[in-house]
Amino acid sequence: MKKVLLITTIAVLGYAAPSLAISPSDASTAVQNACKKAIPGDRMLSVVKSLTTCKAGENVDVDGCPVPCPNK
Amino acid sequence: MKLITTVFTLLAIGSAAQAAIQIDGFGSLYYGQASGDILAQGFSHKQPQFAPFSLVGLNLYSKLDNDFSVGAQLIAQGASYNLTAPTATGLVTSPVGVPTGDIATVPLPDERQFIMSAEWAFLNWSPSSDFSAKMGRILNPAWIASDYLSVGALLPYRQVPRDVYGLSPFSSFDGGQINKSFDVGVGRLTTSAWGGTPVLIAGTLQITNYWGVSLGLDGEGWGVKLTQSSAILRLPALNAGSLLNTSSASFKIDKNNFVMWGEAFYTKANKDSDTIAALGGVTLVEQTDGGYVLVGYKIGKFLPRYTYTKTHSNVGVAAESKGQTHTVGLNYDIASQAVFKLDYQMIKAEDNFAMPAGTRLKGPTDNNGSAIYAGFDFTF
Repeated sequence: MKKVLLITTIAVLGYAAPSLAISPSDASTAVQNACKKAIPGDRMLSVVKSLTTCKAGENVDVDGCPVPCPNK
Repeated sequence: MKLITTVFTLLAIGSAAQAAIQIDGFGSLYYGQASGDILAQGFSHKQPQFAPFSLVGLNLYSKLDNDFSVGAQLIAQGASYNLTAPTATGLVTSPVGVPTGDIATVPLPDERQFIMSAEWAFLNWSPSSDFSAKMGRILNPAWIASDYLSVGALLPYRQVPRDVYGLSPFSSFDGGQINKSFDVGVGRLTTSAWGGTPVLIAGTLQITNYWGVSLGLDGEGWGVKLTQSSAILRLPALNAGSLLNTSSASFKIDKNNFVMWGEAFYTKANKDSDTIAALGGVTLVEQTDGGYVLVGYKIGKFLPRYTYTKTHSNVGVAAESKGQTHTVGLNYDIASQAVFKLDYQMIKAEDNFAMPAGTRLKGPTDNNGSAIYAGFDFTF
């Protein structure tokens, strides 16, 4: 019974809280929309990390192009 | 080691020339345990293993000026398997001394674990935002996750499907690559061409003259990629060579919480390839093919997922092999830069199925197994 409650609690918390992570696909879309360019593959980690850790309202600089911080 | 020294020299030049070095870290820390039916490279079924499934890495980047930059990825892998090193009891070999792939034993892991190596390191010239040319060590562009295949935090699965990606015997090459992209309305079209010499970890083969082209189209939440490449494979011990032609096709969808990735890979020897009379007139590699599909659905911080892989390998000097895996997994975003992943994998092998750089099965009479993995991918 305890296990069921624990699993249910985790599931509800997980469902209720939106993911904070930004996927490479999300990052590519954000940069394409803002800068009309692709993210070089070797820079993907850096861009995803910047877009993940930025605050709402900020712009993230991607090689000189400002990309609005996505809503998270 | 020379490459790492070169990497740091280039980055020091870049740092002195303009800005500081940008460093982005990543890592994967996993425990894995196989069922008793699986015999693996350093992968005991008696207790969970950590090193074979874990790594930490750094992406380094520095701009030299407006057009030139240098970048590198350094990875300290938990366990390194030197296929030229002594094995516990020796591989089964053919009558002419060529490893057949049969599993009498496995290579011993390098005892010096977590040794750093450079996965890629190159000088990049990018005079405009839609054109770039690279020179140095470059990751094999054949795959849809080529640029970040070691960065687990950017992947929907725990790691790229090793049995499928292992159909290509190398993950990087020393050479050059040019990329040009275009905005085509529905998305961004990227064309690429490359050439060079693959970097191999196995000592018995030589692969040279690797050339390829790719075409990719990325839209909002989706992408497709086609590649065509060729390479010359040689086995000096038998004085035999093959011209291999490889095609691959990939797609990914990550939209409205639905996640789906798939890739297919097909290699066939050119008909003019050398034949080996001592082995009945076979070529070094007749044909290898395989693919996978992953499906998942994001529910808040959870991503339950399922991955199916299928591979077939008809290597002329070894027995034909086939294999399938089913992996049920769950991702949970514990923080913005860390994700917990849990995998249960079932492996069904026919003949002498082998999973490169991962698990190997005991043999044709006892060839099904399972494994469970749990751990974290993170960035810093």
